[in-house]
Amino acid sequence: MKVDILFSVVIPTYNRADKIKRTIDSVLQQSYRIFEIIVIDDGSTDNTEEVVLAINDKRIQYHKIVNSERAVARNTGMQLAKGQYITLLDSDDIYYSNYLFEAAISLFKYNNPPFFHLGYEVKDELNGTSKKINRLKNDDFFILIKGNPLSCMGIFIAKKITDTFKFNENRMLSGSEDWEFWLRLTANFGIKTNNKVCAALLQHDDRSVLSYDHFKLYKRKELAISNAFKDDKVKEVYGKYMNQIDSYADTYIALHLAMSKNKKYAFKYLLSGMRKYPLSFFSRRTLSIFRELIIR
Amino acid sequence: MCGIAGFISIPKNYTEKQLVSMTDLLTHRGTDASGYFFDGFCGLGHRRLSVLDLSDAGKQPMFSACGKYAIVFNGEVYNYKEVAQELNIVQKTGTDTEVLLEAFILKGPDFVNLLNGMFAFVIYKLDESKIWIFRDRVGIKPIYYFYDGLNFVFASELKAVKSLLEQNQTLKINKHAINSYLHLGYIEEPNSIYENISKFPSGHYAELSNNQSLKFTNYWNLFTKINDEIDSFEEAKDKLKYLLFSSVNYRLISDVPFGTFLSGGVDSSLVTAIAANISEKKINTFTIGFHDKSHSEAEYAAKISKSLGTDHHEMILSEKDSIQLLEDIVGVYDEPFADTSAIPTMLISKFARQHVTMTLAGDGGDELFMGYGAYQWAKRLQNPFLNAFKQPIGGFLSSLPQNKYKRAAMLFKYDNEANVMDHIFSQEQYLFSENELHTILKNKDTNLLTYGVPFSLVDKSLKPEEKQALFDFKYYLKDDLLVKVDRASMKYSLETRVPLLDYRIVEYSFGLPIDYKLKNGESKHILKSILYDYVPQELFNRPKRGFSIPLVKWLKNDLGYLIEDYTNTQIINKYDILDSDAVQLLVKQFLAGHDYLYNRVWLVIHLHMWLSKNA
Repeated sequence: MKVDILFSVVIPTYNRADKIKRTIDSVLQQSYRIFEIIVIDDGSTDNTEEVVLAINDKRIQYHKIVNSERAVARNTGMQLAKGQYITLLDSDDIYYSNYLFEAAISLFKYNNPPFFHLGYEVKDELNGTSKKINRLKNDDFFILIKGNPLSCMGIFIAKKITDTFKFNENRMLSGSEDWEFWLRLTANFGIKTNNKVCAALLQHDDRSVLSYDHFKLYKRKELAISNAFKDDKVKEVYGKYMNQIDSYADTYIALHLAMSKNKKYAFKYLLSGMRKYPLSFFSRRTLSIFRELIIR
Repeated sequence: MCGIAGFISIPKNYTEKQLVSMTDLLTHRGTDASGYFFDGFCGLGHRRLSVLDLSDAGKQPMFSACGKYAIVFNGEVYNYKEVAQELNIVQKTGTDTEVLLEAFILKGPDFVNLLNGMFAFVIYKLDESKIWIFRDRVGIKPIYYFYDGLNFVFASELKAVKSLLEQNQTLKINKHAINSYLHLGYIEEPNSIYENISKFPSGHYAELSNNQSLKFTNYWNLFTKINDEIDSFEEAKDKLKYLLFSSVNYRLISDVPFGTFLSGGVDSSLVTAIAANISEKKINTFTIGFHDKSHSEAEYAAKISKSLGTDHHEMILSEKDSIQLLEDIVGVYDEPFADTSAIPTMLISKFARQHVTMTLAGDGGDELFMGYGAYQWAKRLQNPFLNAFKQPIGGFLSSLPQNKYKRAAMLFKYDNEANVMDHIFSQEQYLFSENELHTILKNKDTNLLTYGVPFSLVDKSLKPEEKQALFDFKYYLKDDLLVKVDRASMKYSLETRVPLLDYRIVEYSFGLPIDYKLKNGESKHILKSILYDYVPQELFNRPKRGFSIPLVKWLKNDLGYLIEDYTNTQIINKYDILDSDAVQLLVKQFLAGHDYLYNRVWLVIHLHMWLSKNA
């Protein structure tokens, strides 16, 4: 039995020299101190390297790669990891000081599950609002049917499975590569959760400048679903929910198009989603779509 | 685990020979090797008991890679590999000592915050004649010292400091320390029985350069660490379980055979259950029992060991074994120390040492999880009705013939609310109350009896039971229980580790709501709920018994001679501390059937035994 785990915190980054210090500091301030930090610089053109190397802590490793995709950066970090568990952190987000400690308690409690998720909140730093992601249940496959509440925050993956399970590095998938990966992981290993909020996904103004190409979104969805369903376990677990998954993926596209004020296609995808699974109309997402289209 | 001793003297008052002879007094603490460093000013001596890296690489005093620093270290730092990794220290030996020294050089004295363990160590900077002294957070490992502005002398045990000092001066008995001893049964930090020798405070380090004053830093203070963030019972149980496993896991790091003390109670059973769960090898468990069933839990220990599948070793004590050790307490504990459970602790240590070099023990569970009856009394005495009528209630109870009511009566007899905690403690332990001290002390001077507890630092409102538990943590646990275990086990070169006192568990448990600990009158609720995940509950459905010896019976039979030898008018008058008439009355009442006075009689006997050998 493994009691005290070495965690590998993988931080992919690209041109976040102004934010990454705060992110790394939030790891260095953990009450649980057995960890390594692996920063994968995805070809930054700013002074990220200088900022990271200036932090004097021997537990930080810095690796620079040629600019590719987040999936490549994350896979590279997972491969370099020496810990029993890998956890991910985007270079503009933060952990609270109990993040690794709470994870250690749960991983011990569930006897070292391959896939685990810890609660977090999405914080809008401008208006001070936050939305807590803290109502997930153990081995609840519905988590991923309606979307990706896990985002890429609070995720813990056992190192031993990362030889066979990795992020899909196809560039067209970018933005859904995490969801696609979680589908495979949950189908194969289930998911254990701890709903204590221990991290914050920070939203800055620059995230709200949105513009989406409907065709790219569509391709992304198709690719994500088809890739995930190549896995036999995914077929077995999620096969019967195929319509729902497809439907919610359409309304997800509709929402993004609505946010970039592409009304015509937004309606089209909303209708398409409802045709596949009419009940999807009664979701909070539909409300958000209408709000974006009508009110704003 | 080891013994350390040494000095730094600006006028070069001490020789290398003196260093060797003071260190040799600690040979029992480490029989495997010895080492000395002496440069004229500074002497560092070390007796080694090898537990990690048994090779000569672990020899002490150890020097830093740069050659500028030397260290002598007693204890264990369980997370030294992680500290080495965190600070990128490349180890040449497999010892924690090396990591301590290099980490100190890298980070300065505050590096001590990184350590999880039990320790007392001294670091010397050779070219500046500067030293630093460190003691662990809770005070598991001891260090005594003397400082007069020119000479600093330290050692793991009082006897070594004393032996060096006695060569140049007469040591004066500390009167306040005797009062404390009579009231609490031990002498509290920083005092010792001698006026100029102190116990180095736990949770502190100190810096000393040239002939300046000792500069103390309190690097850990429980009272500022208590968190009132409330987890649900289930969350708290998960967290505590993890911390317990982590703590035991750390404490199984060892290059020698190990076991656990298994008394049959909740704390030792829990530690054993977790160790058995983690260890790949079958673990050894040790129990001692008495023929007198009312003082023995051995039969339960045997059942628990069977349920956990341990290699169980049981020894039934004869009265003869125990009685012989009663007189040894004086030499082992160096200062008056009335806790006679030191005897079974010494005997079980001796017994365990025949099989293993290291054991785990369950100490701390009672203070952390409300295990003592004193906590009920703390609550009762704060009841406004009982408090208002404490005089008549006390009077009524003492008029009843049974011993248990007489003892209860004593609990109501106190005048000063500020002293209620030490009063409750003294009466729970059958020791002299402050009022009784007025009668028994020749000079009647008891105004030094104050035991401060910094409750105002705690960021949560505390109930009387919790205050009593914190009082015990600050005084009883550190200066009685941990001293008892350290001296008793080290007498036989046995290292004892106390997983429940991992500072993470200490901090967390004192922040837990009281009803997680005391539920429907049942103590240690949360701890038991973890224990029952591993050992069947039926094995614990019985009243708690202490780890005690049948002293009442012995004092009235085989040990009767001690009463004659050490409470007679002549000896009492010779040392002139107690009032002879009051002592005679006490003894008379005890022998006439007032059994509840047994420990007071023992206090008098043991004090005069100590004085005869030391004064």
